[in-house]
Amino acid sequence: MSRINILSQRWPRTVPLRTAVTVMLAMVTALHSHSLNATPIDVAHAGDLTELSLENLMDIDVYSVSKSAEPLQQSAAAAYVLTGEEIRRAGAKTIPDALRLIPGVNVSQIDAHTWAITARGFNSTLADKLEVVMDGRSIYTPFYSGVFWQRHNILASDIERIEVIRGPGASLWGSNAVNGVVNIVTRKASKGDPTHFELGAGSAERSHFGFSTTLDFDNGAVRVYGRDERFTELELESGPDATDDFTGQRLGFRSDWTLTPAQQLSIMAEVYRDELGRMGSPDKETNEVNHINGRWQHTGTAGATLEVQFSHEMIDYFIPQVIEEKRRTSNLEIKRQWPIGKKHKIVAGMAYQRTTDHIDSANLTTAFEPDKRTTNSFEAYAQDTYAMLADKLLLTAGVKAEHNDLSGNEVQPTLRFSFTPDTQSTYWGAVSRAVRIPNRLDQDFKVFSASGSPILSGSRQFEAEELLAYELGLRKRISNHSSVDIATYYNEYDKLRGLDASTLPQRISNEGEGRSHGVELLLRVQPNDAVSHILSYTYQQLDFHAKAGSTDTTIASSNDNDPRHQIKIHSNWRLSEHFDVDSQLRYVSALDDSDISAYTELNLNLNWRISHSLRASLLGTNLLRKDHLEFDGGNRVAIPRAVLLNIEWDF
Amino acid sequence: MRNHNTRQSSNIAQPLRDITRVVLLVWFSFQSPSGLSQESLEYRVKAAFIYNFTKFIRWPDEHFPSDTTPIRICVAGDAKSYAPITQAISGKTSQNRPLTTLYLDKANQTPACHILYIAGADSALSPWLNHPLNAVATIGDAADFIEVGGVMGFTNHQGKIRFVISQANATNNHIIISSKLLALAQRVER
Repeated sequence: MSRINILSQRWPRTVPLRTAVTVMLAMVTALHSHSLNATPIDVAHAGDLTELSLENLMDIDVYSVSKSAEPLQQSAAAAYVLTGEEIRRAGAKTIPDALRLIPGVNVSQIDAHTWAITARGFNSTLADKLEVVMDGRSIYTPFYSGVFWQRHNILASDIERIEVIRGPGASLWGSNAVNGVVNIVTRKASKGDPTHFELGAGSAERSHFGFSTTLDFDNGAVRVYGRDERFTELELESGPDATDDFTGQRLGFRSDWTLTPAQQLSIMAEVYRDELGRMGSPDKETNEVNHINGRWQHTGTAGATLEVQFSHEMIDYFIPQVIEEKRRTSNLEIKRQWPIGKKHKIVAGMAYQRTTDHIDSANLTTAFEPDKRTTNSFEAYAQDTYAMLADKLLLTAGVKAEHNDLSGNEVQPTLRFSFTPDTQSTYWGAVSRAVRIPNRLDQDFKVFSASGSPILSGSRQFEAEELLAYELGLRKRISNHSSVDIATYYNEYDKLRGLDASTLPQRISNEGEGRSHGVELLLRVQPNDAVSHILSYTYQQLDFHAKAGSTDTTIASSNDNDPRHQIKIHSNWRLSEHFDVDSQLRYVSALDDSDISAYTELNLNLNWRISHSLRASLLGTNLLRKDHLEFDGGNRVAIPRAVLLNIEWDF
Repeated sequence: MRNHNTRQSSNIAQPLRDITRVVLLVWFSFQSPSGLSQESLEYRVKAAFIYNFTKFIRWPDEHFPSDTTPIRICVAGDAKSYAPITQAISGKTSQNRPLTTLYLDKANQTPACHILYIAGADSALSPWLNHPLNAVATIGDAADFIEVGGVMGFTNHQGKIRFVISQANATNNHIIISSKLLALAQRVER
């Protein structure tokens, strides 16, 4: 098959990109004609806000793109903060849709309820190089070291921010933070928060209903929330239904208490159920996830903080006729941060995790042996940031040492620097080692032949995958309204998972190695208070393969599933006090191993602030084409153009 | 066996041209309105709030020796808050008094402030709050500012600036806050 000819012929089909350019041009020129009646927003642009009454001042939207960049200015990592406000303006209703807004994060939708998400390569249905944490609780599963994203779609209005660090964050965030860390932070329960209802329905795709209400107490508040989300089934590229419908419900609460001025306590819990369809199975898969999470924090007068976090999670994951996984995971972590003199800032902590599971096989072909396993892991970490040259140069040395029941001892050190010669620029660099520790799939999975003898097996000898990463970056304020952020990296991977075909049964084993490098460019432009643009370009080149002498044949057919180029342009135009338009244009280049061609797509969200308490929005996703493929999860499901109408009521 | 070198590298040229065109259009389409300082809108909105607050707070008479003693607004913490406040009050009066501003960069200064605005995300940790300040309306940038002794705190509610008031702390500081301001506050702690 001549892929080269096919792909170069597809480009004339993206005529809609020119349409998108025309549409944006029209919006651009429309903005130059302000309305004749001076609204508070127009006065704000004119200059003197003191002429406004208090009521008018309270109506002005003050979101600012640069605000979220400032705390990161001296950070010695490729970090990005997406605020809850940006998520709501963009109309994102799921965590994957919110992650699409973050430069350098590759979000590929596989079907109605499944996504492959990674940073810096290795995307797959079992993408396992990204650590994902919600309010301090890791949400990756020890089953395959990945994330079942559909389990975590909380109300968008409850998200405070999502922080993403691309690159190894292992010394602080732990194993599996190999290619990056996603940290989702929810809003604190706060007295006086309004009761919130939201309802959305849309074309052929989804509907959702959510509510949250806050109960006030003397020294704290409790926010109770619930959400119901449904996706109807999509279609395969070849036409038939993909039987990938989904319905999920969650009910939970978050409470925050101020015990004394220096002590804060947060307790949150949730019960979650879902049912989803998959091709080839007449019955539905189900998930039940219940968790409770508590964090106590003490802030000392000299700026030292002590944090104790405990979480417990119970999962019941049922795939009809295949397996049922029942898992209980508990986590306890103690973290202390404190300065020593004016020059040192230390972060140190310890954590213990215990996960117990029972994976019951319902068929004779596949099984996990043993079917019950308890794994413990204990880790300690420490990091010191040393300030030199009048705080312009920060040197950080950190290490995490871990002992776990799956791979023994792991050490993950990091050395970082950040140099801020003036208020305009920061140069930073880092060398780090990170590992992806084995999971149940790597070590205990078995496939049997019809006669009952194993033909494929995991192995207790499977070791952690390793990464040695070198990174350099620059963050620079170009002018009062624009800034640029450049990150480059060179990664060396070893002990990547593959299949040793030289034995019978074939063994899951550390057969692969390789290198990757890339550049991530981010440009923020905010020409005035009504317009903001975030442009990002991500280039990555991965080259990984089976080691010399290996009999593996699986790596070669899945090592070209990451797009060489990604471009994202995210813009917001505030047309008036009541209307704003948010647009997200993205280009993702081809995935050669799965024959997915490059695509350009556009999401548009029109926000209408009807009154203080009522908001409506119209979200169009994937507008440029009737449908397109983003990833091949075995079924080649086409992601269609869709429209969603959303109403929010606060009182 | 696949040969990586003959792999078609994604045909980036055409879409890159299109997207570059969009980027350049977007970049050059807007000029910042002339004469408008590029300070963040949030700083200017909070400055306008503080100017308005001066109209609704009553201090004890003995803290104004004469009819022309100005209402002094002191600013500590985030220095970028200072200039917008000075610009906002320039040439204006409140309760028939002139207004002045002062930036405090050392924690042990105690000039005669009528309003002390402690700007910045960590205003609740400020040493100024260690004991009540007589006849000073302390304003901070976090909702929990009033839990630790402050009189008023700015909050950001879904992109809009709101404020919360502690009447108990106002009384401790011997100042009176007008009921009109209490009515507009997002929350009042009594």
